[in-house]
Amino acid sequence: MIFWFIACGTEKEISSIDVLPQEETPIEVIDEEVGQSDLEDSTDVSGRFMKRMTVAQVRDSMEQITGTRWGGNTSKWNTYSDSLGVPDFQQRMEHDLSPSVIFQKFLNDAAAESCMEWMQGSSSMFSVDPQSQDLGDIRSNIDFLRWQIQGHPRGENPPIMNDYLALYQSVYSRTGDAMEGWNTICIGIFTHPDFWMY
Amino acid sequence: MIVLWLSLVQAEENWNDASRRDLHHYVRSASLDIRGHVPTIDEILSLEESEELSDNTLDEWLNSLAFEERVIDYHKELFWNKLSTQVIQRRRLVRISNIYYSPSKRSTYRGNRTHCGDFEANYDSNGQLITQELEDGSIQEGWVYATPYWAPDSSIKLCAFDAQEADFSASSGVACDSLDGHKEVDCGCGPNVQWCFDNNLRSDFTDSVAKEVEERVRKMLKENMSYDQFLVQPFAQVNGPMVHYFKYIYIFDDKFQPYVDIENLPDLAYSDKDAWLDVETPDSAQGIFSSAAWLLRHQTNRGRANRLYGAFLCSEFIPVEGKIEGLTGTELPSPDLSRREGCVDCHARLEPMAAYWARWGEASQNYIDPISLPSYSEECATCLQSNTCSTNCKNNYIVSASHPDETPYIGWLRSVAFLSETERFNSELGPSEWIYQSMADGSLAQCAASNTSRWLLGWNKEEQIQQDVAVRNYAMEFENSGYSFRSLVRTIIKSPSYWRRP
Repeated sequence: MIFWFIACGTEKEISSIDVLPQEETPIEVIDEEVGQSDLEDSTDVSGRFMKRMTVAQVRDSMEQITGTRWGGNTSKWNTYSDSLGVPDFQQRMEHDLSPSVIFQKFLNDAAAESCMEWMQGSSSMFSVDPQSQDLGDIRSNIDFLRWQIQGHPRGENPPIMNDYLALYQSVYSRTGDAMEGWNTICIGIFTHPDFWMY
Repeated sequence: MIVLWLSLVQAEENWNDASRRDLHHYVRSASLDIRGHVPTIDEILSLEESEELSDNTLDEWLNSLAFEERVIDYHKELFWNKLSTQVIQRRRLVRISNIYYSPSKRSTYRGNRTHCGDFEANYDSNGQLITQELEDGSIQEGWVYATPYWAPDSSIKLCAFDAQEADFSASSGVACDSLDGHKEVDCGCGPNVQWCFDNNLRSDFTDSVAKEVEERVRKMLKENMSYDQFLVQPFAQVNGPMVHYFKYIYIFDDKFQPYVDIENLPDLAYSDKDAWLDVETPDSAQGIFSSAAWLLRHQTNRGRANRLYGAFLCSEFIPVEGKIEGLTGTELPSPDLSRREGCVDCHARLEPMAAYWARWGEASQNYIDPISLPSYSEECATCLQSNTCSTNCKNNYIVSASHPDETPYIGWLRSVAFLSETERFNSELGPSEWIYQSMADGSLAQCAASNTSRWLLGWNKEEQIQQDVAVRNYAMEFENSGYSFRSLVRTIIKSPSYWRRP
């Protein structure tokens, strides 16, 4: 607990040098406890700015979530690091953290490969029967993927859920393959800024 | 008088008001910043059950190997520790038709620029290498199998002259592991090719020198070393390639000065690239800003000062607009940049800072010993009059004046020229003194807080100026923690600013 003692005074105005200063009126002291507050005034202090993940953060997070590595033994995130603006501290000194077109392109490639392998290699992508066409099940699994990939709490029902649902149904209606639908949803959730901005 | 009760509200209290969504995002962000990846499923489930990121979990993350890597990445952006310098060329081996040979010794061995032949070497009954004479008068030998230190489980084809293992030259008695030994025809690469290196592995040593900075960061975290000690404590670490270089290779370099105690190097194999052990350093060592990685990456004294000033004190040199462009060039410009019009605005500050490195060579990591090279040399001050200036005087001292401003500094070491007596004192103190001064005036802590808030909060310079009070609080907490970098990160992660979105 920190006590701050602040002396307050009134600004004295002198209109003429010939005028003798009047005796100052003593300042009224309020000896009341005014409560607790943050050292950082919550009205003025800025919050954390959203940042784009670094290439390493995207790489490691995707690998952790999907259990697969884009490119197999050698991560393509590392192979393309120069193009992705990773500093080498000779020619480039700072990370390029802009959501550039090339970043989006590689992210899409990585998501496409990783989602496919994740879906084929593990059941952790699904909280329901992946073949189920029940709307409740589909919404539930979209919610489950947003929770895993983007870190949103489960049970939210934001408007984008409807967009994901429409996307799934669109793919399913064209291909008749539920797994194609889930692969597309997985890619969509990975490539959405809610994954790579934090 | 008003009594204000203020307390630093801990993050736990903030959680009382935080929404569930905030909690998920807070933990995800903290995990990404501290460990570089999102939380695991089990961690999210645990978080949802406890509805908080417990201090235990946070501390566990802050003591993880993943956090070490994150802090190393953060410091790479400050130190820029990437080296492109070459190790000495004269001991490299290259391959033709998969047979290794030394390009710099082929004339010595064979009388011409000839590679050895693609046949197994033959020796006579006395064990002498049999050579064949070629039409151009040069000679050629065959190859032998050798087991190189860099791949001890394999064998390579190596030209027989290069494969010689003698310790001394039979003809001259010169030690083969010496600079003179390099010139001897009966000296080769020694046992296990130890005095040479595979050109394809030439970056092993320089990469290790650069990486040593990262291992210092790791050591700081593992041993809870204070940030100031991390910067100024004179210690060094070596790995396998560095040990090999210091034991067997550097002796062939007439310019390289080992910066570790080579008599007491640890026993590490070349393949121990990830094993790092402490070694003694000479008395001249001054911490990370006199390390080979720093000195070779930032090769001029001005460059060294400029980088420290920018990265660790968050300041920069900005010339007054129009001053440099306005220079006419009609007069002979003063070599003293702290006087020259247009340059003075930056160099009046930069030159005394650069002097902290006056005792280290530029484009070199060698220490300039004040006994062998004192700041002032009477001999070099007067040698021009008798036309007897030595190479030492010509290379290191001002022996003549090309401008009237230079006249008072004749006889002074070039790296301390144009400095006042007080400023010249910096050269005797070294860069650690600058760090101590920056601790005393608070600028080191303030900059560390600024840099870390940029990393964790994404605050750019303008935002940091606006959030001056918050950054100052972080700096104060940093100082109060005894300059614990881990505590600084913890303070910011637990601050209201971190979980609040702008």
